Amino acid sequence: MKRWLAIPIGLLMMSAVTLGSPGWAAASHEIVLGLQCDRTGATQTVGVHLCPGYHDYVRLVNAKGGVDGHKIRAVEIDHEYKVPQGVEAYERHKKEGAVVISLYGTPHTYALTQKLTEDHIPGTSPGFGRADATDGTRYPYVFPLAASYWSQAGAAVDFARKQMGGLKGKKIAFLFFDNPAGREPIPVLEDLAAREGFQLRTFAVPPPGVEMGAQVLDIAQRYRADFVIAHLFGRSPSVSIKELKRVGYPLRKVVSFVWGSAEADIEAAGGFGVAEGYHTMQYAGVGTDFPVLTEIREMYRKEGKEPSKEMASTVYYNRGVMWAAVAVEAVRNALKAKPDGKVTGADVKAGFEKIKGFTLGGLLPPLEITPNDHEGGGWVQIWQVKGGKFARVTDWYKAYQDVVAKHIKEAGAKK
Amino acid sequence: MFDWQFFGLLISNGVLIGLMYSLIALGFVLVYKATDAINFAQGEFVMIAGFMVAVALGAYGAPLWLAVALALALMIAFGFGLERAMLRPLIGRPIVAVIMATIGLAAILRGFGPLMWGAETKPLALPIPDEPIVWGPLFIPPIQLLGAAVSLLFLAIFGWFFLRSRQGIAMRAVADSQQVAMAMGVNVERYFALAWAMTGIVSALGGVVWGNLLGVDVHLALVGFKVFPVVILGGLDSIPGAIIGGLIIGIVENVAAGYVDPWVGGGTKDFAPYVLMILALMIRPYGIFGKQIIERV
Repeated sequence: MKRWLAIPIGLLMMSAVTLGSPGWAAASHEIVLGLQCDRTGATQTVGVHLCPGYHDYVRLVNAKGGVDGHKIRAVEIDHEYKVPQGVEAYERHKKEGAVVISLYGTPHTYALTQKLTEDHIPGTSPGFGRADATDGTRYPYVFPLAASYWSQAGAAVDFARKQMGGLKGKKIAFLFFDNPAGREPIPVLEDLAAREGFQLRTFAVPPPGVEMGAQVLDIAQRYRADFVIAHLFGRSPSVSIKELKRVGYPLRKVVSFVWGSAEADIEAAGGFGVAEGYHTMQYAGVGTDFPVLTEIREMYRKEGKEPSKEMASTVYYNRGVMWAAVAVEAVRNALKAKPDGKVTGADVKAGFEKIKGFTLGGLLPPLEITPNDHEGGGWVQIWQVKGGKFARVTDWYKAYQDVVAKHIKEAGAKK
Repeated sequence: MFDWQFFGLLISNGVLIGLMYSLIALGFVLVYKATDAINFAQGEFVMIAGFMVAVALGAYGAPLWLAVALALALMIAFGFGLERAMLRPLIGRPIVAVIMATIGLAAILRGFGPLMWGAETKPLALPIPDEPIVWGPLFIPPIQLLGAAVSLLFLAIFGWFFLRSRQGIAMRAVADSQQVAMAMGVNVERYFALAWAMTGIVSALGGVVWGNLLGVDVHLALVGFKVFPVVILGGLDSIPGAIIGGLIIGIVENVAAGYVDPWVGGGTKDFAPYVLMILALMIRPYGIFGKQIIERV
């Protein structure tokens, strides 16, 4: 705090105490949240829609008087999805006094895990990052908060099982973006193939993922997959939709992981009419029908503005709201122990580990974050492109968590 | 047992995609044939044209014929303007100056496209179905068929132009020797401009078919990278070479991806054409149909 501000604030506090005014709580203290963004770079379609959701939620909290009277300041830094810039963004956030940082990108999460732990700043990585960071005892300052790629693999196989009425003897194709994040679910899928008796073949799509004609031909015409699990990023999900359609593969037999599941992917593929039948996995609610979004629209109207156009891209915008909401909730929990607002990263970490039953009117799954489980349960929903929009197919569910737990344990033993 | 149907599908897919590469390669060949310049911004030309059509269709609701006509007109104007503003001052300079200028132009266009029209991927819808046409054991995607047809049509038109038309013959004369052409009264600058405008036409057509195939954003420029193995293999200054080179690259990359990828884990499609390109440079550097220039040093 600036010294010249400290004197009047101190005087105010003293007078509050001496007057014994019942309305005076401790002085307001600004709480800083760090947000890494990607409004430019390889996956900018995510950042341009997700980050506005984050900011709008923070503005909403501040419009309501902040968290227990303390204002929140979200500091956004664009890293263009490049790791060196991500590390630099982290340092700047640290300097700004951020008590939690929303990371963005799997390679960035790997690069910053050690720093987060050393500096005692919790970093969140919803839907990306390292799957073994679910284990809070090994990664105390990394919070995936949403289904990891291992949990998504379990959920996808379970969904395929329900769609096909069983897995025994079936052929599943795993079409994935060929980088570490894309390859991460393969060990879990291989385990499940052995356990459930289905055949698994993996099909790599090299970056940037705009060409997969041969892989898709193979899936549809040589391997003749009964079901496709797609795990693609950036431009490749939309290309996969078009390519699968071009070889006559029914999109209702496809389920995509969480980064090939947004309106932007469907639009880029040619629109909802083209992608009819395509299944998407989600870790936050989809659509505009949530109380918190109504409040945000109301906030815009009170300001005399139209609600931001990014709200229409509900998959990413809602994830942005979720990222901010969970971070704010962790701060709220931290403030219970330190009402003066001078919370530290360690306090917010403890705050994360107390989150339970916070669903934001259904926008979030029934997260339960504990010191052991930083993933919050590995919940997902499946939505399908149907009749020109997304239609919900399942409620929040998780599957094969025992297999996921086994992999987390094995990863821990390797360390 | 060998799966003949899958092999046939890979070949047919390779042929059609290869012909679509040929269309982009044609733009490259036109410029090289007339001006001896190597255009490293060919992919970006296609991207810019794709943006024009996609935005005209999507944001302004223009009918397809108008969007394509607009893109053709704008790309022709762009070709003329580019030649006048950037390339004419470089006439007579070392060829490396033109190459560096087009590399710079490529970077500028990659920034300009998203800046002007937004970064998100735009669909470029054409009134053709997505579902494949089934011909016996083959599945033919309509867009690839259209792309290949457009490609063959324009390869034929430009082939005729160079062989039979007065302007085409003049262009070949300019390419052969600028000094001699000038001495014979040929307006070299005008033919340079015409070559760049023709590249604009090809880029506009490429933008439409490739834009529909991939969607339009900055990644559309990546199709330009496929041009180099195609033209090195076929010959930098040969229209039939653009066709043959495209077909070979299309087939090789598809067959490699179909049969080698499962063994090595993927990615062969990307480097197989370049392996072929390096081999071609070692064995026949002027390409299959290229002009054999022997210089005694």
